[in-house]
Amino acid sequence: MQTTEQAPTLFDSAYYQDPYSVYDWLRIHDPVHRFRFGVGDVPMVFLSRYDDVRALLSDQRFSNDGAAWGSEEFKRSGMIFGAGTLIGRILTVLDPPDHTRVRKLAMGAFTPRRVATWKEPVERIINETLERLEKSDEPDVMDFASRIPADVTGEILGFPLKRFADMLDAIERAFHADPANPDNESVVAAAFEEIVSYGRELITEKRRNPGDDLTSVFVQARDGEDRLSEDELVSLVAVMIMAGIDTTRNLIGSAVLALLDHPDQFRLLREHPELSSTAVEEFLRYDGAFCVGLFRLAKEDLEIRGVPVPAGTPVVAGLQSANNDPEEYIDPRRLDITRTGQRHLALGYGLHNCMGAALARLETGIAVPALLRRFPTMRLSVPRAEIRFEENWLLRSLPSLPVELRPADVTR
Amino acid sequence: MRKILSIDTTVCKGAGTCGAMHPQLFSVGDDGYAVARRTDLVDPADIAAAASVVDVCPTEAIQLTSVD
Repeated sequence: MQTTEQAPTLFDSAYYQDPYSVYDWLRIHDPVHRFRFGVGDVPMVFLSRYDDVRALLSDQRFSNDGAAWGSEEFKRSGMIFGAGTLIGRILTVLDPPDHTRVRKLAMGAFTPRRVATWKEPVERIINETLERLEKSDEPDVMDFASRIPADVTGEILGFPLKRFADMLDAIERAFHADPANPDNESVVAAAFEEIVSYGRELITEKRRNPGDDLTSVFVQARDGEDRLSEDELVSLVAVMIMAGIDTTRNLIGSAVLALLDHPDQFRLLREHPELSSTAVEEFLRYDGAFCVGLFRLAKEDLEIRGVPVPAGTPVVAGLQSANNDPEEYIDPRRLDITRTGQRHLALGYGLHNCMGAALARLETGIAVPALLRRFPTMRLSVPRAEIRFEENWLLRSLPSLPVELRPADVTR
Repeated sequence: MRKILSIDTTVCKGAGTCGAMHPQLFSVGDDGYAVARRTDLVDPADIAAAASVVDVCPTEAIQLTSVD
């Protein structure tokens, strides 16, 4: 047994700025790491090696359904995502056979054919967003990165513009709540309720005026063959509202930072935009939007590498740790947009792999090369040390990435 | 009834849905992409299992074709 006495701390301030050195230590010294999670002091296990993380994600002895399988400490901690609302029953937490039925209907909306039809609106939105960035007095890549997936989601789901800003605000409150606020839990719960009510509103609207948007496709899956319950329909629309915005925003932001940190790769992608598809996979691997997966709950008493994991224990899949495992990737902290080989786990793996993966790839693969083409000499406008990641246990998120768009012009 | 199960490796992205749903029929190779563990299916239970994955695969990489 490894001693964990000198183990670096997960989820503290130092970790958020440099999680990779923590992961490096854990992979070598304590790959099945028992620790207590700050919120609720819940005993958990953290997996850091690629093989272990991938095995966990496809292991049916684990469930994402915290309300059904979580330990008492976990249930009491308030950590169960959207507990007590329809958000608590989203596809993300369902087990088979319900998962299979709902996912099948949901995937019908993400066919490669349909994704191909999104290319035109995505390109149009990215061009509009570049215009807006160009005119900004204090250009910030995160404004660019935020706007794209928000507008794309609004358009694809068929969201009426007048409700759109309220919806974005609710998402912000749900996912970037201040943990220091004593009312944090109720703020988050209220935001989730709002997202659910936007979902209901949208469904009502699409029943009245069906279009070729995703919401209308889901409404048909409910009304046409009656295979989705009304609650499942609302949950599905709610998850569509939530899932693609913050995640893609973070991926685009981290990708641009990674390129600014690796000028040779910046130049390579600028000169060879045809490398965008391997580049997107490398952005996902290098600094994907999720640091870790959603909690997996052991459904029975079991062992991982000889470490006992009692039923109900939340097990954390260290996605970004796995994606930087030197056993799988040579020199993992070097960005290499031509890298091939082992598939990363940034979009998950197994039953709950990311449903919107094709859309995230489409948006990032167009947005990042377009930004470099438009502003080929872009650079940070603040010292590198001032670029800080948000202290968010789930998402790898940059609040701000201020840049000079055309520094050569400034000095002229 | 007899069906041939195969993976279109040109579109598989290795998301692992198939292997998680029906590990008896699918696995994911060392390179991270899906492999059909059996390709000639006659047992109706196997055919039903394979068919249930066809619509769930995020890249439509699973092919199940009739031979008679």
